[in-house]
Amino acid sequence: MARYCYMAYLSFKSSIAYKAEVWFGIFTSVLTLSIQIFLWKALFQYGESNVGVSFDQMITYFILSTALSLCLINSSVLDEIAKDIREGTIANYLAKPYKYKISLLSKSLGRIFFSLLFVIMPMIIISSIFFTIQAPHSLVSLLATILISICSFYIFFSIYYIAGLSTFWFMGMQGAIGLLIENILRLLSGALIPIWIFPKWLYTIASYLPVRYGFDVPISIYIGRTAGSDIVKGIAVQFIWILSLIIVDNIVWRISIRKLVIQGG
Amino acid sequence: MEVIKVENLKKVYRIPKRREGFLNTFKDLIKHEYEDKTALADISFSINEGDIVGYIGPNGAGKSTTIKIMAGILYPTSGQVTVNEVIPYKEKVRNAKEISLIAGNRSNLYWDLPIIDTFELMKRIYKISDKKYKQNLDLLSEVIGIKDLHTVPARQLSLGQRMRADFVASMLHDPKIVYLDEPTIGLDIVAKDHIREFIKTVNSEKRTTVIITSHDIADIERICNRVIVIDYGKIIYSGNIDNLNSEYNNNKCIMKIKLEDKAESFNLEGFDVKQVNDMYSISFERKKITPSGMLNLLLEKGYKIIDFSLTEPSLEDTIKAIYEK
Amino acid sequence: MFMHLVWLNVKARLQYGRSFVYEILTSMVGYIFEFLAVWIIINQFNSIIGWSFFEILFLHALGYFVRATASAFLWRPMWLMSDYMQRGQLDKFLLSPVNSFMYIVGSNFMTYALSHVILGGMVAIISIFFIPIDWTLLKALLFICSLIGAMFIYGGFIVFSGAISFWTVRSSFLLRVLTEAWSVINYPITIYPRGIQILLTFFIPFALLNYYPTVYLFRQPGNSNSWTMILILAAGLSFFTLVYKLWWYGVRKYQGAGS
Repeated sequence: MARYCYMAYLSFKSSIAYKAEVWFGIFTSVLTLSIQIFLWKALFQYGESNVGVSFDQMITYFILSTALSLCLINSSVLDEIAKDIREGTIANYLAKPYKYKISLLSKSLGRIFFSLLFVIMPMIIISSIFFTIQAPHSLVSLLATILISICSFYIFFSIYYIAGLSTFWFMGMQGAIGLLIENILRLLSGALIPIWIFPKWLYTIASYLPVRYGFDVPISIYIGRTAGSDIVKGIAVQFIWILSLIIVDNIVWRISIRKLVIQGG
Repeated sequence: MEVIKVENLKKVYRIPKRREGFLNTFKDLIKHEYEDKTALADISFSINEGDIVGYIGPNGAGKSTTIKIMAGILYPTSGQVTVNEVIPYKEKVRNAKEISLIAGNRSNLYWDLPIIDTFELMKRIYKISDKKYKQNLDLLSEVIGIKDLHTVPARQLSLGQRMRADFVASMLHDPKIVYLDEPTIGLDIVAKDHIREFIKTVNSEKRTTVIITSHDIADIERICNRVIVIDYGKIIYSGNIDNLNSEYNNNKCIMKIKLEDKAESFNLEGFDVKQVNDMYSISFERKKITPSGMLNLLLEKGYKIIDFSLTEPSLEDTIKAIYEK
Repeated sequence: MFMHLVWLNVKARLQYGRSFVYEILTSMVGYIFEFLAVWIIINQFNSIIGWSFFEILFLHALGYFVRATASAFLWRPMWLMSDYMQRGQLDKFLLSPVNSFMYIVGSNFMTYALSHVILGGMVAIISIFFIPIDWTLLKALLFICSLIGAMFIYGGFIVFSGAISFWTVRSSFLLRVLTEAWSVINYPITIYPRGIQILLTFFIPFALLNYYPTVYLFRQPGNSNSWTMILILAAGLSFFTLVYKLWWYGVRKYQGAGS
């Protein structure tokens, strides 16, 4: 256990070396956030369409979404697995898939913690100078939001994990895969645009995907769009998703390993 | 005929000073304090057409600074440099057409493409006429031995082959002066020989002036007719290579002899003799007695020599002594 | 000589022909999702402040096109400036009898950008068909003028980032900022408050790249007319010339001139 905490700590520490990355991260996130907010402000002012929420709520939506994106949508796990496969070091973990997954998780957590402190915090502080973030709908909402967000970390991790292993079959395509996944995640999770304004068919697709638990669900709860029994339903379904993903993870791992052994590593 | 004339050349670099201490680091961020580093103190020399000059000195002595100024890519602090009657850093283009700079550890070749493509590029850059291009390409490729490699991409060539291709690329425009920076670094013995022969051939056929910087003393020994030694930004020696050894009192010869009668005691007055297994090692100064003189002396004394070897004063020792001063 | 150099680069890249197709496909993914997002929004709001779907698409694509064309020539050489300086590889370029700037630029043509040039151009042209414009020869000519000006403006920013590395370190950081920052003009700048609009028009003139030419083309009456187009061309050429001189100033300083 201590070993993995140390891994997370090392991950955290090595991120500090990249000061430029920090500045860049803050800059990009504030920029993207601002563009989104101004766009929607114009949309609200110009068109008469019922989006179901007020503009102020949308501001909060986007601030939270930006913060969560920095945590959840990150292809480091994908890149790392692809590298391990390419260099063959993944063979070390043949017998211990558990350990591999957990070490990846720990490193990821280290990075996220670093982002939280040095990128997300500054980003929120800077944004709050120009935009106001609303208070959560209720204490219950806040707790539910936090719970669901934390759990959704595993969902996103899992997706990147599976994608990383898929590079076994798609050698050299990790860039394209990462890009594709990033785009899908951003769109269908509600990070870019709230999924409740999607056209019917797209909404249906999005509602059956686990990724909405990263953005749509927790943020909807926070701003009060979802409440009561729906919250409980959400947590339950998310739980089922996480369990399913753990199973799928392991299956994919086993298939990958078999391929590795056959190839001869 | 003088091609290069360097007079009182001085080059001082302004380097930002890194200061210790927390407060000073902060000050450094705002405004740097500079300190002057003198790379070239006051150097003067001249080089004639057709010379092959070994420009040597320990690392940091100022060699590359001098070469860069002569090539026109660095401005001096003060002093005069004329190359082919042109001031290189003032008339860069005119100068560039007559010179060539080949560095052993940096290739000019396009990595992924057949080397002929790089050659064609050079043709366009230096505006070489079709006729001259073909002539030089064939001649150089033939002499240096890469005639069959024209269509091979650079990345598939060995280091030796790449160096040779680099040479061809850099000589297509018939430069009058060629600067070589560690041209044989990393090459095997055969490849080194090839390069050295090539340089000598080009020099004799086209009267190309060559200036070599190399840490491989054999390079200098085999092909240079002149040596200029620089250290701490000052010229320490400039003259013929033959005179270098005597100039520095490095005249020590060592002759090893094997006598027919091994038991015989061996004694030579006035000379330092050591016994190594069944051979005797005699050290003597060339100035006092030449090797042939020594042999005669031994024969006169009636020694029956069945085997001997001679080690002449080495350039390497001389240079080492210079560097260490 | 310059075009020959560029051709050499393309030739080298084409050796890996398959990967070029791969690059186009990868870029397409980004485009598809971006346009999907625009479509979703317009589906809900009927337009983006009065701009139709294809008009927005055109705005986007034009931006990509302008940016990619300038980047294809200038991005990589400027990105490498810091590297070249640190490793002493700048000497080779300074030594040749040809214009060092052209030599460095020509040697580092970025074929990857071509995928965006092609895609951006294609999307722009396709969108044009769906937008009612009364074309006149003058209009077309002025539009092209502004495009050229736009490329020089963006190119000027790229070269500026490279020139700066003669004084401070790492042009790469500024270049990354440039690449990101420009997404502000993916939507018409009228969504921003007046202050930012002025900033984007006069101080960090990204809006000159796609917004004003587009308004001129089919969003009249607007704040862009024939003179604006010519202004963009003039601004582009003069800005680039200035930056070009700055670059040379940096080179001479690097060579120790005047010290």
